[in-house]
Amino acid sequence: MEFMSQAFSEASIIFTESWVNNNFLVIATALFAVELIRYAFKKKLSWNMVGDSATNLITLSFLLVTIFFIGLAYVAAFTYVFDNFSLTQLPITGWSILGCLILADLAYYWEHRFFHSNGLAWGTHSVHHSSPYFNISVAYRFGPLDWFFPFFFHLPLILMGFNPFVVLLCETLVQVFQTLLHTETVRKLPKPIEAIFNTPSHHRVHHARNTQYLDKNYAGILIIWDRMFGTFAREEEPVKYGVYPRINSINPFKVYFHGYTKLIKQLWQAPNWHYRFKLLVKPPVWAWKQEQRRK
Amino acid sequence: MKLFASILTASAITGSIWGLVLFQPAMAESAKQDELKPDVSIAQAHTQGEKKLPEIERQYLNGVTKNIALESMSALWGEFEGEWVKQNKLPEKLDRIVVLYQDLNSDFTQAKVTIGYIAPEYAPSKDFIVLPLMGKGNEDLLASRGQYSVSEFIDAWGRIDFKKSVDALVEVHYLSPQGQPESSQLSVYYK
Repeated sequence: MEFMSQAFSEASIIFTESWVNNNFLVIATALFAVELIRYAFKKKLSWNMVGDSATNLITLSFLLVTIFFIGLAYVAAFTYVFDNFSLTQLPITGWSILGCLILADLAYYWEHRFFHSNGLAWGTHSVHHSSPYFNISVAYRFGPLDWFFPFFFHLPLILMGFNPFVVLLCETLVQVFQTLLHTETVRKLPKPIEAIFNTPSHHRVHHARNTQYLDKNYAGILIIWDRMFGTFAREEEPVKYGVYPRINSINPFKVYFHGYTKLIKQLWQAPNWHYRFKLLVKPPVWAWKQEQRRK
Repeated sequence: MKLFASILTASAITGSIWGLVLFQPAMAESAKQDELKPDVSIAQAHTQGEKKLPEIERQYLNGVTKNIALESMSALWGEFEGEWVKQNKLPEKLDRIVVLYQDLNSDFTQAKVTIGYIAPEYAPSKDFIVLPLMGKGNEDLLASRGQYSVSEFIDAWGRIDFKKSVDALVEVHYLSPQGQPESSQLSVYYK
């Protein structure tokens, strides 16, 4: 308990975050290699899957280039708000980090639900969902504005007085936890774990295009948020991955921009401004239904 | 659960967790209070072969104590103001506020910090923090009593002899009879 009350320096938090980031990539790469071997043994490995995985990693590099340019502004904005507008400034202790992690996980739930709830955000997040496969590399399949929206969902934590670097560390921990969930290798974990935590099984459901699984299991670390807010679905029938319609491409540029290319096309062809506005704020299924109706 | 009810529930959860985290400094503080070592200065006096100093020469600080990152000092000042100034707990004739920095980490980013006033000599309590003994030749004046801007006062920290092991830093903020800050002073105590 005393450890939880001990104060940590900001420098140690920054060090921990980069340590987690750097070392986790090594672990994820090793796990991905194991997955590929497993697929090979099961005779499920194809050139398309390898190409799709390579595309995923290329979209990661696109995101990293973006973060290289805007990362400093992101941190500066957090720090500016923390210094000038936060309600209080909480000490950096184990308790603060634990509290921040739970709240960052809750913020992630809402951010993720937001990504699925409107055309503007879905334009970027659909990239992550567009792979017809489900392996660790899919966790690194990012869209062009994936860095942008999370800022607004984590800003309240800064206003509450959590140190910006603690918030960034917790964002990283939530992200890292989720990366491990992108696998078909693990079927189901023991019941108490499945009840509380997000697991590969729960996250497979989230990536499914089966009707009963749509818009379910938004959780980051704790699945209790989905259970609580009525967006939980258990994995029962086999999952079909990807988005509808499928993009059928492993061209990294096409994959990275297809969400917004499609949205721009829809906006261009929209009959009026009211429809255009709805394309941005309504869930993607709304646009699909309108198209079906017109056909 | 409907969207609106979900948002309300999420807000309530956020408020509760934030409340618990806000409350935690008090727990941390009470934990630290038990660790006070009022005989540290006596032990030092013995090891250096000095004559044991009489009780009256020691000074005690009464106020708020926390292990914090030094960039969070404004929060501790806020707490001192809330707990002591606004609740009129300070003595009527107060001529100075003292800030004591102890247990500084290697990069001087965090410390056990006490903001308080020099407590009456006749009533030492286990809640009081012992101030370093003056006049032992192990202290340096980094900023003599005067008026300083915040940045000038921070610059004074740069005059610490980092080759030596630092035991504590003491900031004294002298007050006018009206209770307004008048001048300040900063000293470092080496081990």
